[in-house]
Amino acid sequence: MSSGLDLLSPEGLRIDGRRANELRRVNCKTGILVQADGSAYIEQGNTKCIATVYGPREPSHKNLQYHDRASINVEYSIATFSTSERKQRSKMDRRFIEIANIVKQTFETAVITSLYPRSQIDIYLQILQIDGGALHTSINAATLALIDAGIPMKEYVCACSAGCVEDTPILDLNYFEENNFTPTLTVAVMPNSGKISTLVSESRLHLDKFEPVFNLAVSGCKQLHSVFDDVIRKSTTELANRVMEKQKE
Amino acid sequence: MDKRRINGPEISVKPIEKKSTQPKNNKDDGIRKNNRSVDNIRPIFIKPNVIKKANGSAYYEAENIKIICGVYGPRSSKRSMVSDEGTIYCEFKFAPFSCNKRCGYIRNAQEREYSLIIQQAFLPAIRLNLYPKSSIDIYVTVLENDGTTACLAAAITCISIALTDAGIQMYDLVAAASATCIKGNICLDPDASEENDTNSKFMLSYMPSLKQVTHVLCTGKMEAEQSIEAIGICIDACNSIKTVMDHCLINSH
Amino acid sequence: MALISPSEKDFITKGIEADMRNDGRSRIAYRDFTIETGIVSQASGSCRLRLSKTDVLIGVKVEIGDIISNTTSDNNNEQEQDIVNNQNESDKGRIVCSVECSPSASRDFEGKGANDINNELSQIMNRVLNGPQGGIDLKSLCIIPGAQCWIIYVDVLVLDYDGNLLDTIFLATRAALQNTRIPKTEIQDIGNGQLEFDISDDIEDAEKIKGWEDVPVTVSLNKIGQKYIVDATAMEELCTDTKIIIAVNRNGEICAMQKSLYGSLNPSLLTEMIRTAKDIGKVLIKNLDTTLEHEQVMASRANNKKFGFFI
Repeated sequence: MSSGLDLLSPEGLRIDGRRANELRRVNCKTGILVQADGSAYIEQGNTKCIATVYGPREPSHKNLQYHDRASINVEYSIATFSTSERKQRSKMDRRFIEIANIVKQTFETAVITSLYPRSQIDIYLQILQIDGGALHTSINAATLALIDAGIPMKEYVCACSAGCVEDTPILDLNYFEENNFTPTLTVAVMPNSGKISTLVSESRLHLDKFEPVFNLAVSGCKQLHSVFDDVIRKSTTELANRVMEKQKE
Repeated sequence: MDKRRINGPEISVKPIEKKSTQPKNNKDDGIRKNNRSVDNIRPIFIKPNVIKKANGSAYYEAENIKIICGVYGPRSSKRSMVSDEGTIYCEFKFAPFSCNKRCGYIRNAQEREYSLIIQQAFLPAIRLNLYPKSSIDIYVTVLENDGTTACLAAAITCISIALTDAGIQMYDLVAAASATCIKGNICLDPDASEENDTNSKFMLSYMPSLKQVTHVLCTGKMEAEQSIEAIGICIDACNSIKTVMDHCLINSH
Repeated sequence: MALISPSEKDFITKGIEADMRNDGRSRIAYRDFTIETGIVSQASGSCRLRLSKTDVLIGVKVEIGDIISNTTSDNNNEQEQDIVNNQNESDKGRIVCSVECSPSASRDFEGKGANDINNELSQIMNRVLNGPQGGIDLKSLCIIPGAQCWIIYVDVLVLDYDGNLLDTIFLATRAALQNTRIPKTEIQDIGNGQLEFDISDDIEDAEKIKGWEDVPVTVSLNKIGQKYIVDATAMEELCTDTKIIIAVNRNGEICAMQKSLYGSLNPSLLTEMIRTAKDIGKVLIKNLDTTLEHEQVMASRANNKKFGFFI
C-alpha cells in the first residue's frame, strides 16, 4: 500500500518529523476549574482534553448505587469545533457511550472504590481538539483529575497508542496515521505493577507483530508516567508550601 | 423522526405563486397598511369555557388571529417534584396549517422557547403556594397566525381567561400587547405583513391592577428612548385589553 | 440543584440594598475578564473568555451552504429552518449558534439536564445575531445569490460557571467574530447564466467579517429585593427573582431585550434598567475592543507565542 511510504520515510521519519518510537509533546496541568472537585488539562501533540471529576457524592439514580463500593459514571463528549469539519454530535452517540464505558472499566480497577460505599464518582471528559489518540488522552486526563480530586487510587493509569507501519512499530499515532488503515493498539497500564488496565484494538494486527507493538506502547506509557509524576509532585509541593505559609500567618 | 404519524415526503417545495397586481389601497400619507392608525389594536373577541373536558379554556379571535387554549389543573404529575409550590407547565404550538409555511407536528425550538416565555409571564401572577406538589398544565394551539409576536401576546391574554375559567387563584389577570417600529413610529398589534417588513418586534405582558410588568421581549434595533416609549404605549394598550377581558368574564356568567 | 439557605439569601439581599456586595463591588460594577483569541487551530476564529471564574470557549467555523429560501420545506434541520422563517431574502447568508454547557461547569448539566438551558441560550443568540440588529452584514456572506452562501457556525462551550453566563458568551462571541477570517471567493461565469466559484487557499487573502464592530453585547440585570445588580455571581443569581437581558451595540442602540425567571417588575424600574444597561454596554464594548487591540500588539511582538488554554 502506498500509505506505508507516506507514513514512514526511508530515513525513519514520520509525517510530523518524529522518529518511530517518539512520543508527541506532552503538556498537562491540574486544578484548572473551580467548581469541580478535581480537574486536569492535557495536551498530547494537538489533541487537547479536559477532564473533570466530581465525587464521591450522592448517586443521581438509586439504581446506580452499590452497597459495598462507589460507582463510577463517565461522560464523554467532543466539541463541535474540534475536527476540521464541523459536525454536531449528540451526547448519546453510540461511539461516545462506548468510549465512556471503556474509560469507566479502566478506572473501576484502579480506583479504590470500596472506601466509599453507596456513592458515585463522576468523570466528565471534554475533547477540545482531536489529532488522533482521543481515547488514551482521555484516560491520562482522567487519571490526573482523579489524583487532583484526592480520590485514592492503587496507581497511576497511563495510556498510550501504538501501531505498525510495514513491520516497524510506531508510537503515539496522530489523526493521519490512525485513519490510514494503520493497525492501532491502545494500551493503559499501571506502571509500577505493570498490570494492564485496558487493551483496545479495532483493526487487524498479525500475531507476530503484536508483541513488539504492545511492548512499544507499554514503554510509551512508562515515559508518560514519569512526566505525570513530575507534574503532580510539583503542584502538590506548591500547594503544601501555600498551606505552610498560611499557617505561619 | 416522527414515527407516530404517516408523514408526507420529507422534502416538498411550495409552488411559486404569481405575484398579484393588487392596486395599492393605502393612503399615501398613511404609515401603516390597511389604513390602520398607529395605536390601533385589532378588535378582540374572547369566549371562555369552549372545551368541556378541560378545567378551563378560552377561545380568542382578533381579525385573522385565532387561538384556543386549554388549562388542566391543579393536578398531580410526574414532572412536579415534591415541593411546597406548584409548577406551571406550558405547551405552545402552531397548528401545521396556521402559518404561511407548514409547521411540523413536533414542537420546534421556537415553539419551545415561546412555551418557556409564557411560563415565565405567568409565574408572578398565579398563587402557586396554594397548590403544592401540583402542576398547572396549559396547552395553547394557534389555529391561524397573523403576526408571530401578536400571536404570542394574544396567547397570553387568552390563557389569563382560561385560567380564570379553571378557577385557579391569581393575583391579577395578565394582559399582553405587541408592537413594532415602522418608520420611526411605534405601532401596536402588527400583522404578518407588517412584521415581515420591519425588523423590530416588541412584546410586553403586564398585570394592570398591580401595575407590574411580567414579561418583556424585544428584538431588532431600537434606540433606548424608543424602547422606553414602546413600553409606555404597550402598557396603555394592556389597560384597554383588560377592559375587554373584564367585559368577557362578566358577560359569560 | 443548586440551593441557597434563607439566611444567606437574606444576607445578600440586605447587602445589595446598602450597595455592598459580597466581593466588595458596587451594584453596577463588572468583574475583570481575561481573554485570548485564535487558540483553536482548526476553527476559522476562536476565543476563550474568563469573567472571574465563568469560563467560555467559542469556536467559529465558516462553511459553504445552500441558501434556504422560504419556498423549500425541509424538516431535517429545524434550527436553521427557524432562522430562515424570519428571513425572506435569497441573497443573505446566515449565522447558526449552538451552546453546549459541559457537565464540568455544574452538576445540573449532566446528561440531559443541560438541554433546556442549551436551547434557551442558543435561541437568544440566534435571535440577536441573525438580522440587522446583529451587526453582521449578512448580504456580504452571499456568494451566488439564490444558491450558495457562507454560513457562520458559532459553537459555544461552557467550561466553568460562576454566574453571568450570557454576558460572557456574547463578549466572547464578539471577540471570536473579530478573530474570524473568511476565505476569499472568486466567482466565474461559465456561460448559460451559470456561476461557479473558487475558494482561494491563501491564508493572507482571508477577509474579516464585515460588520463585526456592530455585534452587540448583552448586559444582564438581576433584580434582588427592590434593587438591581449587574454581573451577578452564582450565589447572587440564586437570590434573583427577575432577570432582564438587554443587548446593546457600540452606538448605544438596544438590539434585544428579554425578561426571565419568575418575578415581575415596575415599569419605572424597567425604564431605569434600560438606561443603565445602555451606558454599561457601551463601556463594556470599549473595554473589550481596547483589550483586543492590546492582544494584537502583544501577539505581533511575541511572535505568536500562544499561552494556550490553561497553561
